[in-house]
Amino acid sequence: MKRDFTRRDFLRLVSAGTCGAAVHRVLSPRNGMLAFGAPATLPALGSQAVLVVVNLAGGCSYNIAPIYHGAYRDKNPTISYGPENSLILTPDQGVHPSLTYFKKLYDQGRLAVMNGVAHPQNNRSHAESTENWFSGIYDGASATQGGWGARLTCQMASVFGGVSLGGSISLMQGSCNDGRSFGDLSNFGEDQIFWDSRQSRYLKAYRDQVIANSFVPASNDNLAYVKNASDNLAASIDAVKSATNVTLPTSYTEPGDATPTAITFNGGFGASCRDAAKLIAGTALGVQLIYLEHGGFDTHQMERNSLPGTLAEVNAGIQALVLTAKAMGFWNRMVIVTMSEFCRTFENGSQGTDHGRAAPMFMMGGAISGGVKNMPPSPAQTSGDYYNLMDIDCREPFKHVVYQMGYDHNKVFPGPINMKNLSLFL
Amino acid sequence: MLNRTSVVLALGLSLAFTAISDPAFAAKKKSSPKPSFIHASDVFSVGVRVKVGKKFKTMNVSCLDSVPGMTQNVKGGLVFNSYSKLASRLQKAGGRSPKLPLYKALAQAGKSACTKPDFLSLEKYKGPFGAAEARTLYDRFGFGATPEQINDAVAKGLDRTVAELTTYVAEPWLEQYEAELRCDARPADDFDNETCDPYNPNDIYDIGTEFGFVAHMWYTSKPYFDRMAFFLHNERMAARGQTVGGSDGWALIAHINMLRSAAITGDYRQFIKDYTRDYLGHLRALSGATNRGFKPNEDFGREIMELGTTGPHDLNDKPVYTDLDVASAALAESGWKIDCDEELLNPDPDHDGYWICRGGYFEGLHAQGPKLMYAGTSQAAIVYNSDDLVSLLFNHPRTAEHLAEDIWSEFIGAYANPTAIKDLAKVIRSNNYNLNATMRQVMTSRAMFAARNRKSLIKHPVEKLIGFLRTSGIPVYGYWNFYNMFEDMGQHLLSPPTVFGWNEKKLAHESHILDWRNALVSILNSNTNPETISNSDSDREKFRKQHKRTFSYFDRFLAGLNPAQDPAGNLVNRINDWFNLDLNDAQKGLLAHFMNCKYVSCSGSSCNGLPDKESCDGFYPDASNFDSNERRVKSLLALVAELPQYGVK
Repeated sequence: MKRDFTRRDFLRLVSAGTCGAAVHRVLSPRNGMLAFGAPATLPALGSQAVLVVVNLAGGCSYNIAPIYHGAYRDKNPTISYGPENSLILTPDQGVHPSLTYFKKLYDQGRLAVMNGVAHPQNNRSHAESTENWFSGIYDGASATQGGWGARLTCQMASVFGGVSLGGSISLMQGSCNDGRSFGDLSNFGEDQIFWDSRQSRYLKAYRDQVIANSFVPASNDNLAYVKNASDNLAASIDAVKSATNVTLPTSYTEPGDATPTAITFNGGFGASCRDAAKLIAGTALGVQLIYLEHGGFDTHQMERNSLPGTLAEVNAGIQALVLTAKAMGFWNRMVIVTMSEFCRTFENGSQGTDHGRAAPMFMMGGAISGGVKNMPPSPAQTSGDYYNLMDIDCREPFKHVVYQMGYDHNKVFPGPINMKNLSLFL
Repeated sequence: MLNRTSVVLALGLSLAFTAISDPAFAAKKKSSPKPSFIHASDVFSVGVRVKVGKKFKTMNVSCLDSVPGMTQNVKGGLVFNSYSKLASRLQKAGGRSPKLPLYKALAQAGKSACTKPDFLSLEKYKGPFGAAEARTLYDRFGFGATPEQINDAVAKGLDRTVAELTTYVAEPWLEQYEAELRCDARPADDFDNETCDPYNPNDIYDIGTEFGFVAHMWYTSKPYFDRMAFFLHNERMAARGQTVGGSDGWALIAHINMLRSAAITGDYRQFIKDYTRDYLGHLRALSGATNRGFKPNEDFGREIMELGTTGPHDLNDKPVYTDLDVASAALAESGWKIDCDEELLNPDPDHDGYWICRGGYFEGLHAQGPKLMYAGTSQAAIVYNSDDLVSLLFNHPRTAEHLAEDIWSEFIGAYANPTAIKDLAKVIRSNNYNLNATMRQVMTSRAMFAARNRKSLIKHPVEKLIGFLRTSGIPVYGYWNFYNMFEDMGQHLLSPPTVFGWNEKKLAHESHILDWRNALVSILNSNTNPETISNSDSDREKFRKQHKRTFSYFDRFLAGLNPAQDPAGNLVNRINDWFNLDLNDAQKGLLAHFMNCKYVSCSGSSCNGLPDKESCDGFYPDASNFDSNERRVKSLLALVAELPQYGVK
């Protein structure tokens, strides 16, 4: 992959072989490598499978899936939740009270919860931990292979295979082609100059030719990047507008519900979920990987003030996306996975939490076998720095999904991974 | 029950040293024989002339730092082999390989070429300083420039231009103009303007403050300082203005003043010291107000190291600090809190006080005693408070290197190797962390004008927009337009998405290209011609027309073009120069054709169902075709500002 020298890339460049000191002691990636236990069945998701990655950016608190035992609550005296004020999943753990639809999916058996998920090289830097997750590789020296999303997109037939609705990020940048990156698709169109359609047509006709004739020196990666985006746009405008010109349902009645639930996409994250739904529904584009992002999880202070609202937005957006998927019939071929660059510590002096490491992860979809897949940190572990304890390598859940999509998971996640052989699919 | 804080406070040095010396804490595992992988951007290529047989040939050599060699993709990554090592291997194998003399020649010729290529050299630039070089300077350090400014710069030469660009001159009218915008987003001459309350420091409207920040960039005669303030705002612990409001809105202005003061004095060390006392940045955005000595918050302790000073890793991939250092830094910075009270600032005795929140340092909230930093390293030291910590961080070799990394990628080029970063760090240190002295050296360096670095940096949306306005001189009415444009383009100034600021690459995606196109259309669709006032106009409408700043596209862009001498081609050349586009002949030809022709309605069987056909009746830049010329010039501007070349600097 050709690279430039932005700070993020520089951070990625220097991230090889690094992580917080304690991390190395807790986990050596070379310990106990297990072979990837490929599922016995054929890919469960079918040829039009879609993976939606939802990044809870900023490093999310463990309180998105609160642990109930006393040791955890002692460590988080003012910000933790118990069975009395959260949504109970098991006697040991629940989900945050704002994640009402997550709870509903859990009850439907379509939400999997994983504990202690981290990249083996996670440290406590936002930028570096994010890049580690996106790279999907252990050894940073292999960063020339780009993001795992790009390696997945490389296997897809459509040029729209991978789409970022959360900005152009390194998850989607790779050696064969970069994923496409869009903002709000409701504004995906051009204004007319002088309100004159003929002059605008004339301008556009020449603009694309002039752009196509731009000379890009071989060493100028940034100019190539900008030109590539312009070229892509020329090919996108009509295709995206046409394919996403679908009418989404406004309500859906879930099995067992007496009344329909209204489907509404509100706010910025809601708009991203709406656009994701349109991209998936507009099957002509062949979108199979979508990246969404919601910020606001860097809760260093007064976590109780901000986390409920932020999670409520996530819950509402995902609820609308899932209900749309169910109503439009793509729920069984869609998997939504949440990620966050790191988990957070126990409560600090500001009723917030600082940067930690291993976090809960949610996976949901019509083909997902729900349940809590591994135990949360025990009371004994929680009396120490439990947030450092990685139990699941973050690449494993994604690797399972890629396999179930029918793609070569070993190309997407090369190198050994300490697998737990999670059973995530029906 | 121990946590990191109690480790630092209670167990002190011995445990810290033990922990760091534990092999399990080693920064990077030394594992056995495995290829030494490199990153693609570790190497750069240069052309060298070598004798192959009896002929001289130009060949590309890859350089890793100053060592010539070649890269190879192997399983797991990219490896680098130096030509001297390859030659030595062939020699040991008998020396009969035909590649041996070539490798030896490449090793020899590559030695000097790899050592100091111009695009990595901070040596003084001695080449010509023409319009292209002046444009590079102004695009990177001044949000663009008018052609008149470029001509002036060329006449004065590089050194004088840089000296003038980096010499601050106060502009009281602009300060006043900006101050008036801050409370209601309206300038003093706006019909609906409200006078800001001079006694209330919180008579601040965040959108108005953003407009003021933008207006300052647009109108200042010393844009270098605004550019540096933006650099600090974006790259060095970016703080969100929206974290303050009705009772502490003053803090946003204080924060802007801090950024500008750092840009004007260039004193980076003082900037970091000021940041440790900054209400918006330290106390609010980075949680300093709740960082108590007895139970710290690590937010600021981490970011002052990661973003403000050392960065997380050195040039050899080794971590610069540990989690214990973060905890120690948090303790050193503890002791602040925010108190709110009613303050009687208006001298009118009948006027109520204002409810105002301010930050204060309280020794009782500060973690007393020594805090160990960098245990087990050559930088190990004890700090007690913020000043100690800042001194220690500025003594760390990484602080200058990390600053050098950001300066390089923001202002010089998309690629740097460790040697170049070390060179720039040396310059920073030799200037005692003065940014202006450092930037003067950067601005006059070979690297600044090297062909490989030309147009190699992606512009931020603010650079595209303000640059377009500064270069063209086109006026825009109503700062609300700016609010919408910046919102669409993803760069609300003073409200970055995270402490990491904006990633310009992230803001160059397809939707934002569309947003930029639409912003341009909005600017160019604005009617800048004089308007007739009629009796039926409302007072507001009369006022608007009376105070409307008019602008003539004809005078600005077509003046001096000879209608008889390829006016379309000459206009394209002019626009190419003004906007620093590097158009090639094919592009110029297309654009000249675009100016000479237009679409007209098509009807009849020859149209193949198309609504338009092209009619080429030429381009006549004379006053009799005023409307037509204005439309064509606007179309040309819209077209060129959408080109990829305009999006880079």
